[in-house]
Amino acid sequence: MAHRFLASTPLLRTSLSLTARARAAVPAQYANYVTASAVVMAGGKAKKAAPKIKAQSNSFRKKKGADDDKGESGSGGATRLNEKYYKPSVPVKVEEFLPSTATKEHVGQVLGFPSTVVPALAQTAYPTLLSEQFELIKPAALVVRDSTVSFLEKVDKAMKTPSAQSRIVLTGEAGSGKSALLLQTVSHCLSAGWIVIYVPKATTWMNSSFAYNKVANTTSFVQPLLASNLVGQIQNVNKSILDKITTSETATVGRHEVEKGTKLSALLEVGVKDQFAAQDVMELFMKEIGAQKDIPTLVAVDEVNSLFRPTQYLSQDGKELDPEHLKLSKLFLNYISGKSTFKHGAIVAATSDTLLANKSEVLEVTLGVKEVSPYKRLSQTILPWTQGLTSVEVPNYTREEAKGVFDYYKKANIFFDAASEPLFLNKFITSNGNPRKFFTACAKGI
Amino acid sequence: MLHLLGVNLPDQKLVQYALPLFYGIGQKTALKVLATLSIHKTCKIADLSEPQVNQLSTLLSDMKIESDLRKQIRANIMHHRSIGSYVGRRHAMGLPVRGQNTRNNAKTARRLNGRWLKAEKREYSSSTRSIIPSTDSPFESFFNRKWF
Repeated sequence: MAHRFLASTPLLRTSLSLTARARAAVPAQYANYVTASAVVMAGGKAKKAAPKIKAQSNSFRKKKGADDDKGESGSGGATRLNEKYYKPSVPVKVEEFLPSTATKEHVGQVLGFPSTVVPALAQTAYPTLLSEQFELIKPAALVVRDSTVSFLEKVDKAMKTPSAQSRIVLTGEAGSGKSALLLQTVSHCLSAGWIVIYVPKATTWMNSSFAYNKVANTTSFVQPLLASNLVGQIQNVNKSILDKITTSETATVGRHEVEKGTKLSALLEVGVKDQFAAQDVMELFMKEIGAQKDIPTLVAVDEVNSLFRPTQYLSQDGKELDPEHLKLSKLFLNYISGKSTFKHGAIVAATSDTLLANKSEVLEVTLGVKEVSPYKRLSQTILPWTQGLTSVEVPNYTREEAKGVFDYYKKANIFFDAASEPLFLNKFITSNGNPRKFFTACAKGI
Repeated sequence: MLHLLGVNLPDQKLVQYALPLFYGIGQKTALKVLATLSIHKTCKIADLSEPQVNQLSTLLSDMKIESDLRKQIRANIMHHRSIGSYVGRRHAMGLPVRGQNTRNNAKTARRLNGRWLKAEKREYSSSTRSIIPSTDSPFESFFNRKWF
């Protein structure tokens, strides 16, 4: 059976052994997602230019020599990928994505994150599926789109208005670029000198992966370690800016006294060192940055749909907790719903279709993305939190944008066919311009 | 390795899946225990703090598990045996108790059903006064016959 399958491929004409041929017949790039080596590579990416996936071209390619044994033993290794099948992608020189370059003239150009912003973005993980693309093609870069330009104009207008007036949720089909647009917004605001609170995976707050403790005499729960981690991230991202703002009055956070006039970076340090004070630190911090008008604040939350559905935590009765019962989530929900506001700032969130189980029907119905039967009863505890949100739909690539991305992929050497108009049209039409599908079409030849 | 109430709980196991290692705790009770103690689902045994371990220990000692539960089960079956009921006889003979067919398919019952009484016999074999009814009473030998 296997022979008959292989007989139809050009590989039969090589002098490889059957096992080597079988291994080569499977597109090599799948190994990146299948073998344990991929997991190890993710850990050791900092060491050297990680060998990257080489796409199988459609044209017949003769294999050099019959060194099957070397090939077999090489690909069996746990850490190193066989250099016969994997080639590193070429780092592409890109301009920086700055407020000056995020304009209509640059639509279709792929711009990388500025060197000042990259360390800040490294404090938190990239969104899951985007990070796979950034692993493949270094440095991390995103294309400037029409939607990017118009959205950043919106965000710039929000700079001088209260955050309660600019509560935006990015919606769109799976893979259309919501997380990418959010990342660009974060980068833009970091370059512009805003205070940025970026939460790339709000799902991790809700999926019972952090310890939680009940607050006595209330129905609320705190997540000390999560709060402490978040405080640490905010401090590392906004270090220089937070030195300029001080607290307006004395306050008690946990077991500590914070005097009037303490720098906010020092306040956050308290939360980093004592995780049980971190929740109070976070609340005081949000209050302080909201009260001042000099520096606007951006709260960017990805996978925000998990904030609008029951969590995986259990109350003492064994029932699932709502996000409002977790103090940290409630703090963010207050700002997202407009109950609390920053004097100058904006709240931008993005939904995620990555896990079906995390979808929030309430949010989708309120934003008008989904229609349900009027008889369907939506959660009355979660519904009030979704009022007043503006939905911005992120469309698929236009031809111009896709062309720019295609040229970038070609320069990065992730596919080896000649970059021609028919090939571009093939990829663009089969993927319908969907950014994620377009990437898969180019990188994996699907 | 956490040693709790006579059971070894491996450190790298999730608490949710380590608790059913106790006799008398299954998946549902384990989740209830986690909920009562506010332990998150991805908590491992090694991540439990000292106060949490004490709370867990207190909670588990209040529940009927391990040897207490085994005693209760054994006592229930022995009660049937001592009053000479049908259920007791079936346990003694190692046959299905709840009216199942024995023409075919009584394999599980034949394998499992006598074990509580055997354990009882082993425990009390050394004692002079046996709980198992003696053959002194007039009808006991008639009812205990395995063949007619």
